[in-house]
Amino acid sequence: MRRTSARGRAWILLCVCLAANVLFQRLDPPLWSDVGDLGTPPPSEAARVASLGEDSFAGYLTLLFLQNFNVSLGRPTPLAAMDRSNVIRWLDLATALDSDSRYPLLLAARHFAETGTPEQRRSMLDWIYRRFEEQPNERWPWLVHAVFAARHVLHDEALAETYAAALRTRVTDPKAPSWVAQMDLLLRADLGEAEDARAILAGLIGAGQIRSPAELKFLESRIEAGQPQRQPNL
Amino acid sequence: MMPMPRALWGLARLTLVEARRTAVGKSVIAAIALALGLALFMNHIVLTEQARATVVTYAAIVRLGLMLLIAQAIIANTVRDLHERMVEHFLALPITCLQYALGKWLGWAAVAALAGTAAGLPLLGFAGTPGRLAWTLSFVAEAVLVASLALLLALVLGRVVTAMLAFCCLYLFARISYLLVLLSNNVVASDGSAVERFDARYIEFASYLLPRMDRFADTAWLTGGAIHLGPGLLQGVIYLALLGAVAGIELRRKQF
Repeated sequence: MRRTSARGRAWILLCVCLAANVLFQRLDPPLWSDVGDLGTPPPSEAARVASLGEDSFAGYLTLLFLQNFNVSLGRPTPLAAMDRSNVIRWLDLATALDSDSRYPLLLAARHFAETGTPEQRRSMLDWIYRRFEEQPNERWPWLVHAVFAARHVLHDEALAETYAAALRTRVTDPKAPSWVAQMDLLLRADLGEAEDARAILAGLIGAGQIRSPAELKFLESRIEAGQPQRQPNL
Repeated sequence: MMPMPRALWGLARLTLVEARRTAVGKSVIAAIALALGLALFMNHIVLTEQARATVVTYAAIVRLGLMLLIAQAIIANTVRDLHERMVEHFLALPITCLQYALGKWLGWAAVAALAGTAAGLPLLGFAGTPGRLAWTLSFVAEAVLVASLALLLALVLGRVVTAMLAFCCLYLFARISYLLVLLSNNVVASDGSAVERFDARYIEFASYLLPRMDRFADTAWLTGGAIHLGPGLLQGVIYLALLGAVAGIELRRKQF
């Protein structure tokens, strides 16, 4: 009986200590201020050393940190409150750690470029464009998204044309769909710039990038359709 | 040439039995399951490249977990044999001190190879992952090298805490020594001070004493990176011979 009660006292002591620990944690929960501002990221060499040379794993951890930084204890703060120059530095770090990953570009295009002020969105699109120029044949899908964002979110036709022209001139992978190179033409046709569109069409024909008569007919019909009504339909 | 004594194979077999008795196999399975669980968790929280992120996470975690587990098991078992004077029982047999160490090494190398192979098995579940066979082979080589280093440290230092601390320092440094050499050389190249130049030479010298562990089972192989199996295997052979030479000197000197 005495042994049982001694065991009971030990369990009670354990429960009391555990309850005290839970109470302490509840009274002193982690706060957003504990995490602090995003700040500048560590140098890529330091991240490599800290991850024991597991660069890709460190890249994913960096991106998860960035992706969830604005969510604190289930209380998300606006993404617009995050300093975009620091966000870009963190994205640069993740890209330096794992240059083959498309995750940083996805976060930039679909997470950060879709929120914030026009200047903040533009800075993210510019970052995508810079990264596209490094590996155009691998990163063109994200510049395609940037064309849509520039035209339909920022309403910046000139910026959309710049990106579309880069898609036409820089993407050389034969596996890339033909509409990637034709996007510039379609955009200009929709904007009513028929002469530019025709010149681009001639260039595409000359480069052998129009692969069937039906494709040519479709593109010509888009140029003609864009001329009188000038209705953006991209 | 002297034929290899049967006692040596018996020692290796006894080491395998000892590993089984001390639940090393179950611990290896638990470590692999934990790494797989964390990798699958990663699969659910990333927004894209789920398969790639899962494989990368698994490879990174299982490496650290298994290497520390193998080293800890070997050091704890070997030090216990030393303290309980089991070694003296074995040395009563017609075998030399070096043959005893060789028998133990054969047993633990087999355990490490089995653990490394087991770590490669979950990769079969990730269809389309490149370089799985090369990664597993290289991982087995790394595990055998780690087992050899842990056994030598345990025999030489004779204490669990000291040997484990020495192993952690050596293994972690060997994993990142190439990065530290590059970084220190960069500092020197950018007009570093005399202390920085000394540090650079010191790091370079220390790296020459250790193997290039980054050559083994590179995670990038599983994500389509170029596979270089040869340098890792060559490094393994060279360093195993070096550890054997150290054991030859140290075990002749040491009185069990």
